[in-house]
Amino acid sequence: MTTHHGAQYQGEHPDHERVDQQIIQARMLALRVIAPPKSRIGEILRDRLEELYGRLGDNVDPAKRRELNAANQDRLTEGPEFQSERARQTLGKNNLVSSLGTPVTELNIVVGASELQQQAPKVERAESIPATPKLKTQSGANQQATSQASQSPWVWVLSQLLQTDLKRLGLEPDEMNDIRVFLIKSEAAKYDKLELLSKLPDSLSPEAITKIFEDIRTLAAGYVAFVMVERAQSEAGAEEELKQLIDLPRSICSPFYGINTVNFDPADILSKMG
Amino acid sequence: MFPVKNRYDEVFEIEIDGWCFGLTNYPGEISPAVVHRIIRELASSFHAAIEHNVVFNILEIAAKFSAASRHLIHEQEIASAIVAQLPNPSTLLEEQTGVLGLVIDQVEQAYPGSLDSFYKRWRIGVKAA
Repeated sequence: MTTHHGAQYQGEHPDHERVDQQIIQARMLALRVIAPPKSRIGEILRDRLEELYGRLGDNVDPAKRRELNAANQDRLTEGPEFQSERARQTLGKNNLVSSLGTPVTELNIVVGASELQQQAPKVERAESIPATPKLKTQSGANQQATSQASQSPWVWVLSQLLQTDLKRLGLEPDEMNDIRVFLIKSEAAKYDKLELLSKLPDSLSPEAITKIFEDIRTLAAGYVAFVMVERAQSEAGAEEELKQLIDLPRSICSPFYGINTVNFDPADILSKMG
Repeated sequence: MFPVKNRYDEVFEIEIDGWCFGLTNYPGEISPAVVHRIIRELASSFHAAIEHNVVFNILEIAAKFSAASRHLIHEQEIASAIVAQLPNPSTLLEEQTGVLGLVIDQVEQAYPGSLDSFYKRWRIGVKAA
């Protein structure tokens, strides 16, 4: 057996460099076996965090984004988004009929301002869509209509009518939401043509939704980063404690390692010496 | 039970908690569309969790998101939205399909019909014309 410490080792062993390497490797191996790799959870979380940022951040490498999206590509073409689009086209063709038996394309006529004013107080859950859209100032014949529309939670009522229909079609919630937004926007476009509406509510604007979504994502990423650091620190601390407990470096690189022990009795030697 | 790979259950939980933290602490108003957007965004995370044999509880996640969104959306709607984001079983390995089955089963127990809806989505059991 080769030795690596003490006078016997220094300058005498022809392969001392190789042995040194073996010892280092053994030490590392022992560390890996006895203690888990340093902050494994930290590494995973770091990767995840990068992905989290990478998927949505502005400074995204396009190649990386493509790579991340590639895995879901097949699914996307057959998944909810695709189906939403398909359903949207179908709805467009078939002229969806509302729960009142009226084609949706005519809802702007059905949902009159005076009717909506009566229905509005019954609303219990109107938090999703702001009740009063911003309106342009009008003059002449349109002024009365503007006044009525400004007091009507038309978006909410329309939303409720459409939701009833979409539920009946057995669509998934996210598809239903997409189509609802799409149809409401279609109706809003008609108001826009009549110059009654200047702007959609934020809850229906894709830009506003994206902005909110990205803010929430930033908060989420911050949380993940915080937990990552916390976990990594606690694991590193645990590893240090473990090393101190087992005194690992000394046990492997003991200065007495490889030196043969000799059993002798001093009294026996003294007696022989006479 | 399938062994979890790379302690991914912890990672998945942290990520879900992260999004809930974001929703809870967002200072402005949030709409159902935002919540649905987040659920859609989590599709790849659900896929990754299943690939790592994590049998996550959709009902718990739905309850967390519903609470985080100030009960703007009912738990059942969120659970259905999550089921809609689960991967196509035909793209998974046998072990992962088992994990997916365990995941969906919890929702089916609570809200019967979820499995049928999932099958319809991926056209499972539908014979080609």
